[in-house]
Formats: sequence, structure tokens, C-alpha cells
Amino acid sequence: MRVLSPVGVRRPFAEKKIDHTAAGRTVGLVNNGFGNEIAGKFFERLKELLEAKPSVSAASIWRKPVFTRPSPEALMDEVAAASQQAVVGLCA
Amino acid sequence: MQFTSEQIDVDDYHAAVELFFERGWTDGLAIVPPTEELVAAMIAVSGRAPTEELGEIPPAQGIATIEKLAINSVMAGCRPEYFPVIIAAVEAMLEPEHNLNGVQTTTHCCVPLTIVHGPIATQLKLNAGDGVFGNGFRANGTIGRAIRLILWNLGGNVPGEVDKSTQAHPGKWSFCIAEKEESNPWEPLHVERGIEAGQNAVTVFSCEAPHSVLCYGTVKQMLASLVSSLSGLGSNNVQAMGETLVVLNPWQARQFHREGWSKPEIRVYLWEHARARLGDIREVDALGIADQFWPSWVEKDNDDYRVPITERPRNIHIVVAGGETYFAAICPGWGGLGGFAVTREIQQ
Repeated sequence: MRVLSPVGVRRPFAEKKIDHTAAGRTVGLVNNGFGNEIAGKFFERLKELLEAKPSVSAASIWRKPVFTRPSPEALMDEVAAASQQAVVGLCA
Repeated sequence: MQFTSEQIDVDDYHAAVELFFERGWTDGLAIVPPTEELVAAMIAVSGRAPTEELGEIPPAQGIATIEKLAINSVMAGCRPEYFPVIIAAVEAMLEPEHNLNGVQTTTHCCVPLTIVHGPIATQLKLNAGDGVFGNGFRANGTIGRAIRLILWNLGGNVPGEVDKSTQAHPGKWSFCIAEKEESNPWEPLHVERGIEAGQNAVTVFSCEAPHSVLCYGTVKQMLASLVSSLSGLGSNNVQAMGETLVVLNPWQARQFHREGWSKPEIRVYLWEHARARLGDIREVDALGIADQFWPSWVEKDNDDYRVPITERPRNIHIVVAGGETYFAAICPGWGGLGGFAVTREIQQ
């Protein structure tokens, strides 16, 4: 008997090389949008800690409008234009 | 027929079943081995090319080709004539407003419910009557299971891995009903949602398991019972709006209709009365999410403001199904987070 695999095939994608040193760079932090006050405090503190590092020149925070849905294209473009590195999917 | 999927030779039926368990390709139950002959018969009914792509099933992003959908449908035990329903349901789930990525990964228990409308429901012997959400009917059981296997094998929806559902619910095995249109005094749901009467369609709505509502007597008594059941503070709808489903049985529908109530009037009544006090919602909203989903007209500084369970009456979906007893069912949604109802015509 010959059977067929039910598993899905993914489209190939090219992985970009990322410079993890963040040396002298502007870092974007994208709050996933979950929670209010606690998340706000967490991201402010994270920004402070990053900016205290000599290797980071600035850190900025964005917030996704709805935490369960993908970021709107416009938001991603804004983060990409303003940051040399960005960390997404963050949740407090 | 040419296939692009990996082909594996096995000794017999039992070896095939064990292979699928070993590779994590099944939902926890034995499968019908997807042989080339059975898969080809499934695809032939659809009249579509095996390589045709409907999209990608999140979060694993497996490409939903007609071939892969057919393989999973064979595994579930579907007859070939069920396949157009499954294709339409997958197309509906992939619409952005359904937010399938969120549905597949949320900690909430919502599951895509497939509601089949039109003459095809009778032709396929889908159950729309007694025990409509239950067992005993091949079409309901296997169509629902095929959709689950597609979400599993193409979307990677494995509990504890990408599927973070806290307790989930039994609809994750299979969750498919039909609307009992011959006993429905009103327009069925798909017609209300823009499909021509007499056409076949599916509506996919991600929701909780059915909650039983003792709903009998006069219209006033039935409405009071529904209002109370819909407005519990722990519901995602109460805290974050979104959409909800009310399943009335044919007796209840006739009772409402006899008293002159239309479906839109019932919706408006439920929307106006199934509410919770804003201050009470804030008391239990420890995650602080409710504000994100309330429209600007909600008086956010007024603790006594009564917040409705949906943004507008039309987000309360009503279908007629089930046996003729005292009970209705409600299936609360995921709130404003997603899983919204999408209706698609079935192409045959």
C-alpha cells in the first residue's frame, strides 16, 4: 500500500543576517500590545536599560494596536525606517 | 493523477495507521490511509487542480494545496462529495478577519466552528437536528475532523507547542453543524450574510463549546434566560466584545416567529439587554484588555455604564438547529481578538 504525506510544505524564505551587537545603534522595541499598565512600565524600564548601554544610541517603543493580530504594514514600515534593529513579539 | 506529496510504501492498513501515529500526523485517533486512489477520487469531485493553492495555514505556514486538503480529508474518513464543503471552510478561515493565526495560537479555547447552509446539508446527511453538536453523523464528524487535521498537519496546531489553548474544548476533535433550514421561519444565516437563498455555503466562526441555556416558555422568559447566559462577567464577549453565536432550536424559533419577532429584533433586544456594568468589568479585567476593544461611544469613565457584549447587534449571530426541547445553546466568541464569522459559497 502506498500512502501520501499529509504534512504541509512551507515556502522557502531567505533569512537575513542580523548584527546582534547593537553597537551604537537605534533599537526599536515593538510591544505586542498585551496588557496596559504593567506592560507600559516594563517597556519603559527596558528602554532605560538599553539606553544606558554605550553600544546603544537610542531605543524607541511602538505598540501593536491589537495583540492578537499581525502588525499593520504601516507600523512595520515606521519601525523599520526609524530603527537599525528591532525586537518584535515582546510581551510583558 | 500526479502528486507532489511524499509517497510512502507500507505493508498494510495497520502499518499505515501506526506510521501516522509515529510521525505525529494524526489527531490522536486512527486514520483512513490516504492512498493515491482515495486522494485522487477526493480531488476529482472538486474539479480543481491538485497543485492549486488556497493560501498558507498559520502558524506553521504549510501551503494549503487542494492535494494536501484532500489527503487530510481522506484521513478523516470523508466521502469525496464532502470535499467542496471543506475547501470552502478553509477559504473562509483564511480570510484576514478570521485571524486564523491568532485562533491557532491563543490561550483561549476558541475553535473554528463550521456551519453548513443550503440544500447540500440535506444531500450530505449533515445533522441539523437532535444532538446537532454531538456524535453519530458521518458528515458532521468527518468534515469537522478533516478541518482539524488540516489545521494540525498544515498549521502545526499541536497542544503545548504552538497551540497554547489553556483547556481547549472537545470541538478540537470535530466542530461542524448544519442549519435546520426547513424548520427555520426566518432567513438562514448565510442569506442574511449576503449569499443568495438556495445556494450552498459555509460560515466559519471561532467560538467556545456550546453552553446550554434552559430557554422555554414565553418569549419574555426565553429572552431573559438568553440575556442572563450571555452576560456573565467571565466571558470574552463581555470583556472584549467581538461576536457571539446563539443557536435556537426549531420550537423556540417558531415561538418567536409566532409572536411576531424577527431575527434582527431578537438581536437588538439581546444587544440592548445582555450587558454588564462597566465598573464590574473593570473589577475583573486584571489583564487590562477590555479598553482595547471598546468603541469610542462606550462611556469609559462611567462605572455605571452598561457595556454590550458586541459592538453592534449584527455581531450576534443566530442560527436554528437542534432538537425541539427546552434548550438553546450559546457559543461565545473570542472577543474582539478575532475568530470573526466568515461566510463563503460552496463551489461544486
